[in-house]
Amino acid sequence: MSARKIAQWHDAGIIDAATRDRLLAYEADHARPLALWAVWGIGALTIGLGFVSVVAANWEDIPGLVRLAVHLALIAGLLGLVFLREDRLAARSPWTVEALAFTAAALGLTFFGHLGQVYQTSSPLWQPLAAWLALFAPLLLLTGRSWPTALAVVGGAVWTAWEYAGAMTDHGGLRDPGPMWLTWIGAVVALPAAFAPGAGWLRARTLRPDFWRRMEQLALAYAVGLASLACAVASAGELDGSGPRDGGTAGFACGLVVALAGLAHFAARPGISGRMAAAIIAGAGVTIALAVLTDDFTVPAALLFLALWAGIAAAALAAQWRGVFQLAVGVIALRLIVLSFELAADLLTSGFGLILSGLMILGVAWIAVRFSRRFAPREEGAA
Amino acid sequence: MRAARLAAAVLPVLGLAAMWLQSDRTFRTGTEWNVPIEGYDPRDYLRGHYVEFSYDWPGMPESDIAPSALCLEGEAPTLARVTAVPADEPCEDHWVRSDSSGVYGWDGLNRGRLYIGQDRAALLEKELRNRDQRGIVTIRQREDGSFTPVAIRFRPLNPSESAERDALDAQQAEDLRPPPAIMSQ
Repeated sequence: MSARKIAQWHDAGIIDAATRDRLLAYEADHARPLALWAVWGIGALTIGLGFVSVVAANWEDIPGLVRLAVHLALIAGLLGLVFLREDRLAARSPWTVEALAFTAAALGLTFFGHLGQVYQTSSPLWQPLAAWLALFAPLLLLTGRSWPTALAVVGGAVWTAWEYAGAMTDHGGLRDPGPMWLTWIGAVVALPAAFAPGAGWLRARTLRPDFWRRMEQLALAYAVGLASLACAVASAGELDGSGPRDGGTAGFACGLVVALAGLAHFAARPGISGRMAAAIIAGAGVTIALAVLTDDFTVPAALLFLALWAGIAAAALAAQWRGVFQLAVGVIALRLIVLSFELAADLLTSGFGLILSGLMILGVAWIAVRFSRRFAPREEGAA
Repeated sequence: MRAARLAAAVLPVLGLAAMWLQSDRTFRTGTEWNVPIEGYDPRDYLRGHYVEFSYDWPGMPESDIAPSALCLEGEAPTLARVTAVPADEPCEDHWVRSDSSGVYGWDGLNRGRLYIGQDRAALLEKELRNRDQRGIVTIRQREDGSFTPVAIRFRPLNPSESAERDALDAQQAEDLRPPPAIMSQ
């Protein structure tokens, strides 16, 4: 609300002078300089990107030692600033701390590439990723305020897990990995979902509930994404073999670990919202395990996918999450449309068939929009 | 809580510094050898800012099976010849092995890469296309059989190498001749 509007209301006689002054004082105290924050964010991002390309260009005019020393000094400086000034900076704007911690972590990740260039070392990607996660996750978890740092932790864990699984199975080319090995790989891929119960437990017990809420949401999104991917791969008939994506044993193990994370979440966060989040994660785990059984059966795999998202829609109704409910309805509608093409691909070859499919898409979309409007919960709750 | 925050802030710096030290020490130890390289594919060997090349170990028979370890003979840095040995019983003096956790895995004795600056990458790409030159990579070989390429340079072909190349070209030209008239019908 701008001061100009408040002055206009006063001039029109809607509010008296005392109310005007109180409103102005309130607005001054609670101003959110969004534009300024956005400029800060864009500036930080640009500097980060610029630094990455300077490193990538591998400037040989500057000796490696000097480049690495400057790089490490930058990281140390940012970390020092975060440690010494965290409370003061956070009091002014939590985003400052968030940007500092995130930039330090990003610089840390590029340091590994920088080392590789200067010393000609080359190792599989999961090794530097795992080292980065071990070194920077404590910092991010202790200072994170919002979604960028949460995304860095969960995203870093997911990336590490998949790189590890890919490298350990020779990117699907490994012949005859034992069942023990596949169980291990499947469990590793599922591990990032285990952030959910931990974050759910900490939400009520910390000064940074927003950060832990984002962590929980991202871990939940990963579990649902994994389950959806398993269904999609099963419907294409690729869920057997030895890769991390396409392994029966690995799929079972992965589903089991995700389901266990869901069960732990029940205990970690009581309340309707927590119970529904737990139900979604546990359901995603069960879906992953069941997807193995539906491999190469188009309709059962699609039904499993629809059941997962119908469950998510039901949970969203129970917990009053409007956005999640609408998303679930949209995903179900999309899957129905894709399914119709899978089952009747020959429709697309004739003009009449195309008209029919177009009408059907419009019909499904119309029903989805009506359904969503009619039943979506009113207010936006927190997932 | 303050101690935990201090630890979280200090850990990344210490960890990165330790990795730096470790990389630096590994990079500096070892014996330097000059290994001829070959087989660069102009479409493929310059990805980003590194050169990718195939080693042309002197004295290695042409074979599809990648050796897991090689014995290096000669007076460093001049490599006289190599012999394939099993990785679990390497020779006394100087040896290299493929690193199964490296980017090239078991193929690490066949292929290698060298990171270079982007200006030099463009120059090298031109040089590598010049067939009158021979690429030489200097590797630093350590006691445990691990090795790191540290430099790349070029020298003109010596007479025997250019004769070998001309013979190869002549053979390829022969292979590409059109078939006799009777067979093309």
